[in-house]
Amino acid sequence: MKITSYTVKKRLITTFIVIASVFIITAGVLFYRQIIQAGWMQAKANSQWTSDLTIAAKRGRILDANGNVLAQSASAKTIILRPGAVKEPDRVADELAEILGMDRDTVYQKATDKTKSEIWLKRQVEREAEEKIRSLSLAGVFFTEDTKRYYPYSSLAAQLLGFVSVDGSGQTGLELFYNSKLAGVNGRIIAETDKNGVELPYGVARYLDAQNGLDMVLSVDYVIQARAEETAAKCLSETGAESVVCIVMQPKTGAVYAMVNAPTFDLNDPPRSDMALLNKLTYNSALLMNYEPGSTFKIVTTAAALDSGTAKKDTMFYCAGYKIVDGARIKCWRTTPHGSETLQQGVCNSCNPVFMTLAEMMGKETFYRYIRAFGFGTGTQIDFNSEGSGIVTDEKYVTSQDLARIAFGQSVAVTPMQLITAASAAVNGGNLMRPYLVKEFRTQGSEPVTVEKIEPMTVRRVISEETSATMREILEAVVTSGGGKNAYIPGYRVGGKTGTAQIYENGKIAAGKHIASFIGFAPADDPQIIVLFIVNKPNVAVDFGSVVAAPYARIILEDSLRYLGVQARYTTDEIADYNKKVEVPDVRNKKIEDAVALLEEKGFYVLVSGDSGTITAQSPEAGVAAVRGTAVCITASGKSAETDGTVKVPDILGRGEDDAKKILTENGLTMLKVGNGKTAVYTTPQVGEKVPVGTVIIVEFH
Amino acid sequence: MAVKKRKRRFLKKNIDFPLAITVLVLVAIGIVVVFSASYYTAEIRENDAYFYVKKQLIGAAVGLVAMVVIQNIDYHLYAKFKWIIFLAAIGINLLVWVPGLGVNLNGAQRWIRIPVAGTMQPSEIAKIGLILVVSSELAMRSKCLTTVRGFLYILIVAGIMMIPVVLQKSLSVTIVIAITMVILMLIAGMRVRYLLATGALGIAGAAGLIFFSKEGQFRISRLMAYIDPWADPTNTGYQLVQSLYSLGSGGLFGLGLGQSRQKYLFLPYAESDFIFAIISEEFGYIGALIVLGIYGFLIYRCFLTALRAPDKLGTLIAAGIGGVMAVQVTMHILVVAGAIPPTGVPLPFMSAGSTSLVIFMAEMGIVLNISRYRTEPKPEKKEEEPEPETTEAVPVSE
Repeated sequence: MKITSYTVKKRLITTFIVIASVFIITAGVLFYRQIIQAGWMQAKANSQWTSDLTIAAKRGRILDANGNVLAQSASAKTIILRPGAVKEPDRVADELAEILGMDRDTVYQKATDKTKSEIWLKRQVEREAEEKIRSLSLAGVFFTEDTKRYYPYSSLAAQLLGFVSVDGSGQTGLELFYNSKLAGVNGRIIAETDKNGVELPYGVARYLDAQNGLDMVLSVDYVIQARAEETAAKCLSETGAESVVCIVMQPKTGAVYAMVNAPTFDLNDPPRSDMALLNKLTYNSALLMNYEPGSTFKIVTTAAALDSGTAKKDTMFYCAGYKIVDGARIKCWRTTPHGSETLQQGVCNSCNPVFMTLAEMMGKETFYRYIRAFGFGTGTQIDFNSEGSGIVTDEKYVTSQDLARIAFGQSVAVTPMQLITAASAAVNGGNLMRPYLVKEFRTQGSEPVTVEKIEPMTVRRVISEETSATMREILEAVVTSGGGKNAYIPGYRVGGKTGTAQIYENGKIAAGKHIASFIGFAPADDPQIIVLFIVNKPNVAVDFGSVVAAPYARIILEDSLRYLGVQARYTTDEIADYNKKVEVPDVRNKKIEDAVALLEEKGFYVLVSGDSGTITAQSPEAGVAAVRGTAVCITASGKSAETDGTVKVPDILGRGEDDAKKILTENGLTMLKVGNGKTAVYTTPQVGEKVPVGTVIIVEFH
Repeated sequence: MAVKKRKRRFLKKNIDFPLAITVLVLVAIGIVVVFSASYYTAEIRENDAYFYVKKQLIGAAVGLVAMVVIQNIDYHLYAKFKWIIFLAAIGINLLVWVPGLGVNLNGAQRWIRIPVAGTMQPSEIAKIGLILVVSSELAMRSKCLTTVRGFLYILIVAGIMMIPVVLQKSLSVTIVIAITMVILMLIAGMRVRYLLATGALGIAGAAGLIFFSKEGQFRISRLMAYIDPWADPTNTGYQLVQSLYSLGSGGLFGLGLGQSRQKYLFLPYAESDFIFAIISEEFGYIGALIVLGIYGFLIYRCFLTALRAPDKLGTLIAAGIGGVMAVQVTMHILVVAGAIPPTGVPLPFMSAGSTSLVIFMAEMGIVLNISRYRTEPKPEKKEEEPEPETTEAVPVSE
């Protein structure tokens, strides 16, 4: 076959036509990719081109009434891995696992997971660890801003404060209720980045500044809260109770000083993995628990009877040990009848027939009007995310028997908060106050600006001034000569009422299980503080409120009164009693706890040095007669004794109260504050003098 | 006979200016696009945003000189020195295994170090060497076209030249050369049945190589990735997915010059193997079509030169070079568009790489030289015809 130039040309042209056709097909493929699939591609591409970073707003602190920090956010870092940029996965895994306390294989797997462009390895990494990691300069390991919430007093007011999620938003308690104010508004940076997340030099970026959250100042006082918690813990261990609830309040304003639920938990490390336990521990019983109050509710019945003119303080009643209501025989708590008694005596005796009679005399309408007016059956409007409202049977369905029982605190359920608010109204001059936990919001920073101030709010007048005054007298009598004797504090006029209530389990009264409570206030003539102390299911032989609740309430009352600077005014009897000398017992070779118990029982103030073992020395020595309240120093074998049991009064002049108290305490001295000023100006004994450990130093503040 | 022809048309004409200008336009666009596609990566990797564009400019300058010099060299010399070319092409390709000269990049031994310019892929030289040698053989020995022995002779000559390229495991170059060889033999007038038989054999051999070699597994995974890149968009499908993002983002009108987002490290080899993706992203479908059109025109001018060449040698060399351009452009774009399995094929005149740019421009110099011996009487008129293949065919075929 001969190849002609014609064949060549023909094939040349054919080839070119084929090439041209392939070009047209290529153009078609491009059309499909660039036009038909464009929208889909663009959307996918866009998401890899931009990064949306959050600038976290700094969450406000939670402060107590005096500015002590109860919760604070500190900046931390989130450790991010970009597997694409990780160059030495083994080293990254080794180092990070070590520093962050993570599993090495987990870290390795994440560092090499190329299907993800970015993985958050660990959140809330603290500064120390962050710096360690930075110093290694590992490729592919990045940091972003994060914050961590710290609670300096860990378990203090745990149910009240609540905690935040890892994302830093409030999950429970006040952290949740006031989340929007605390949280502030996060800012954002939307920026164009390269594949490694590096912002492009001329990329379009949008910045939205973060607005920091507000600092929240509570009405809660750290000192009172801490004292109440200590006392509650002591009560738990001493009575074997299931739980303890305690509220301390300013009765005239409704400002809550302390709110305690024991047992409690560490806010810095809530048991997040155990939901049931977490729910149980975070439950704020002080606001949520509906319980039958028992005798403490008699405050309400008495106030209602007095205010409605149904009875007077000295109206006579008769207790036969029971009362027949509508054919049913309802017993008094004591088998021996109380016999003839005035209303005041009835309250002191906590005699049930008296209150049944009062309810009968008032009638359903009147009594119910007061019950409602005192706030039962509705929430107290306290600033918390949840609150119980108690259970008050609707008027329409209440029988006379029910009414008789309600009069002494059965067949009615209240929350601790409702009860203490109602009792406050009974003694504060007759006004039902809205209880509140937060008194102020202010901006963060060195020069805070108050944004919002919460003023005390009167919900309504419930009883008259006169009735309230009478109530104070009656309730003071309960403490001086009635069931509340255990709450008696020398130097202070204390009023109160005990209560022992049944517990219903599965609709039946649980035998042998009670809720013992005591509600007390002081001074009785001008109440500055009111305490409700509730002991749930104490496990002791005598579980009356007067025995298992009143003594603890007394501790809180006394310490709070002193702390608040309420002057003690001793009666002549009290002074005489106080000055009566007592023989110091011999506590040598006893265990510390036993020695302390023995000395405190005798009325001595005990100072212990050393923290274990038995007592090796005591001062004053055994057999010396001393007035009650004298400090007795005991030295335990567990720790070497101080040189000679004396210290020099440290120089605290010019210091603030907290500072001065701290310094004195560190030196084994006790401070007694005199005057209302802010700086210490004079001490007795004077600065530099040698005094025995435990001496009370009177510090004048100006 | 060929000698006679050459003597008769000793008088050289002007070069084919439309072709020369087209080449310059493509080189110019290439420099701009290489800069746009590479400056961010270059700044990060080489600490010099101008790293690639500098090399490209040097390549363009050297290439221009090469093009001007070579368009003056009588292309018949290539036939005369075909054995020297044959040996030189093989020799240069063997240099990749010489220690100190060979460069191993990403696990492949297919580059050699060149002072100043950096590295070059000698398989580019094998490509043009093969075109020259095979064209010479086909033009001189007409028996090659009609007898099995002749055909096998050509295959053996080409095969020997291919050995180093195959050993370099440069699949893309091997495919480009194979297709170009087919084009050359077809145009030379080779019996179609020889080509079909060889084609079937080649495909079978390639399939066997893929399935039974270690490399094969790797190649298969790349093949699968191309069929559905979204099955594994961060690993095997990554490159293609990113390339498709570029195309899609470009849309009809493009993001504008310098506005590509994919070049910010998202698209690997944006300045070389995937440069058309950046062109598409920045200039849109319209820009992509224009660039494709310019290449079409370039190839058309090469084929026109082939058609008007005074002898078969000129026809085959011009068509071979035009064919190689067509194959590379098509493969490059189809890879970028995800229509064929991803394999690194540089886009002639545009992909970053100074030595390949020089070689491409030198090839154009050869075509321009052939164009100077063109035979048609009124070139100006013909060039303005809109449908060249058909209109040109008639007057020249006498």
